Amino acid sequence: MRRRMLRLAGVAAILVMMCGVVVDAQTKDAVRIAFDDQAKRVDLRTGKTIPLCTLAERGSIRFYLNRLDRADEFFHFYHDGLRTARITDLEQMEKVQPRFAIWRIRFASGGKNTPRVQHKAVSFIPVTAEGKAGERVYLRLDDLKLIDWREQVN
Amino acid sequence: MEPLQNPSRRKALKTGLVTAAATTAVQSARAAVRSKEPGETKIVAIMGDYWHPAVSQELHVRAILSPLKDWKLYFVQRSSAFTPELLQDADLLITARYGGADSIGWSDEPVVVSRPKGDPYMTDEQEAAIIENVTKRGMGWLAVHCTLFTGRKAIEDLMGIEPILHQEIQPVVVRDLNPEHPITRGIDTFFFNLDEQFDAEIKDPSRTTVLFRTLAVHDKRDALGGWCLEQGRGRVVGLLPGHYQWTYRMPQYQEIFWRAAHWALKRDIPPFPGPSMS
Repeated sequence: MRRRMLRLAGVAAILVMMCGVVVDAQTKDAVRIAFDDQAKRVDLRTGKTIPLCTLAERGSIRFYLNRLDRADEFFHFYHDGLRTARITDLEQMEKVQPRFAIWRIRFASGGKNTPRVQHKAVSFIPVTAEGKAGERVYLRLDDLKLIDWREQVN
Repeated sequence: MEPLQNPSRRKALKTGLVTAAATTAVQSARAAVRSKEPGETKIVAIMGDYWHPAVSQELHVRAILSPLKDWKLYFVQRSSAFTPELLQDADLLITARYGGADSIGWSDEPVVVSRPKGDPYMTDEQEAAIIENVTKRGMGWLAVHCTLFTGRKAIEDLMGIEPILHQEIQPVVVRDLNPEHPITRGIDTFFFNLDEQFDAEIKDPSRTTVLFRTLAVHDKRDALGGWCLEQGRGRVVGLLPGHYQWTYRMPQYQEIFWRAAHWALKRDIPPFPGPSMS
């Protein structure tokens, strides 16, 4: 009996540890986001206010120029004309001047720019601190102030 | 695909001549550096690119500083000639170039059918030479307009700012001129017909002086326009206006340029007599 109890406790402990590892991996692998202090966080599709979150599922971020049924894995920005920044080439984007939709874009190549971004909306799958993925949300890009694709270290 | 073949004597000779010519060009760029004469104030300028008219920039900078007969301006015509040797005894550097190769290769032929590839800019060697000469030797530096977009962190650090891109080209008002600083004291609000209104964030406000701000007329963006700071033994002035020739034609901006050059050189600032060309 005692042996069975010990075995069960051991299995439970391993399961808890495994869950912890999975949660940790899910949150560590997620993309870091930050909401603007002025953000209303209203989902553009449902009209409901979404809860605060700081993580988005990696690979879930999409940008929208004019229509929410046309998801882009890139956004346009104005430099010496319209240019395109692909998500796969990005390391981070950080809002600098909200009124002018100006973001500081850092590329994985090491380059950076601070142009006006043309795309207006963004969607992603939020991830809770416990590593649980939610429903996809659609927001004004201006509701965010940071998207950080870099791997999280700690 | 062309079949592989041994190079003919003529081709080998031709290739050798081209290589020799390229090597000679670089060597001659370095050899072209003349020693500074006694009493001379040596000013090196590298300005102009695809977006920014080098011709009018050179004409206006020469005109603004023309009353100073002992000031000699060395305008760089090809970036490979912008060398540590050229800077080693320069008193002032003026730059208005973003980071990117020369748009067209330089040629000394009077008529050009095809041009060589443009020289790279800014190289690691050029970056190091600027930093070394400003911070260690005390060379002054006027960092004008698109200079903030070299894409080099060390250069941004030396300028003391984080760059922000301009938006549409539009009329720009120069305002909030610092009444305390000798570069801007007594100069009132003025405007440019058209300019690219760059902006920047100052990295260390405690040791940077804002000279003026700008207001873009169409989109009403308020931006940093000019600033200055000490960097080691040298002085740096950042002046963001300067896209078109209109900017350099404005008497108030000419005066700011004149004063900024003197301030960066740690010289007394004489009254601006006005340029010889308007």
